[in-house]
Amino acid sequence: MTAAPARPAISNRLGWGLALGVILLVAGVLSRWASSAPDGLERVAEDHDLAGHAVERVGLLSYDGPSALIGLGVVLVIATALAMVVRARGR
Amino acid sequence: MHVPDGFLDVATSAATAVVATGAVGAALRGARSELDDRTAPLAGLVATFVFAAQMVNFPIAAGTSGHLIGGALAAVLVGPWAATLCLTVVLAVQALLFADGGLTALGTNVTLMAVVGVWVGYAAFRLAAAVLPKRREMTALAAGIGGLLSVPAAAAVFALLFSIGGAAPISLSTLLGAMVGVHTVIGVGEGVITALVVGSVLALRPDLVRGAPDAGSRAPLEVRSGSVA
Repeated sequence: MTAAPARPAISNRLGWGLALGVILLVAGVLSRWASSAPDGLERVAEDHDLAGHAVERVGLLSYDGPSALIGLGVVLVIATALAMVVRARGR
Repeated sequence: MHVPDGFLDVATSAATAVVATGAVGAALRGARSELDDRTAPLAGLVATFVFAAQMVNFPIAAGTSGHLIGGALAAVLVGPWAATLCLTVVLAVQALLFADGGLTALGTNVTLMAVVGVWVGYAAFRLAAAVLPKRREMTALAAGIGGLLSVPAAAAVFALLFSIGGAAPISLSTLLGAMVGVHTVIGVGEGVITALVVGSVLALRPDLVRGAPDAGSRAPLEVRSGSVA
């Protein structure tokens, strides 16, 4: 029943490289095959006329092309910085 | 399931903004005990992965798609409080920079995904993990179950909110059925992705997974091996 001890199989550096590689693969390659069909909420909103006076906004950035990378970078920096601040407070 | 501006009225949006603010405030405190020198950087990676994965809509039926929410995934990897923070960062960047989800609906989206998605996903994970054998594959399976249930739960809360302050007249039961129905199918995708990612991280770096069966020393509430025969 006892689980194996939590021993890392790969180093921090390899782990970071692998994680960033997977993230770039998902955002840069897999996203090309992403479905452009409406998502669950959009489908229900269309079927049942939920939109009311909803307005379409145009974003500063778009998920297509390199500006998605900016989004990834912004999330990485903000989330890491926030986690670091929270961790520092916890000590 | 990013709610745009104008779906919910001002009062309901304000109410969810209050809930979201309170939840984020609590998460800022709660996450202190979850994040240490090793897991704090992981939280940044988890948020970035969730942001990337949310760009990739997968088809679920004719003319309908879904994408990962990532609440259960983040909660299993870095803990539920930190996961609430991760998802909130993702949702804020999406709303502010990409016009994905309304600005006035940010509180609603944080409530649905960073609170309901994360905490229902985490609770279901903990329940499933308590029942299943304490093995890594079972932890991944439990995470998948958490992911699966988190999506219809968030969809159900949206239906409730819309019945209170929605922009269009629709009966709660009709909307609840439609939302939970389609999001249960999306939840299957959520569950599969969540199980695969948690399983992969467990195989490579089990020491970094907060919900791992052997994370007992870092997670006081985690299941104790040995005390459960």
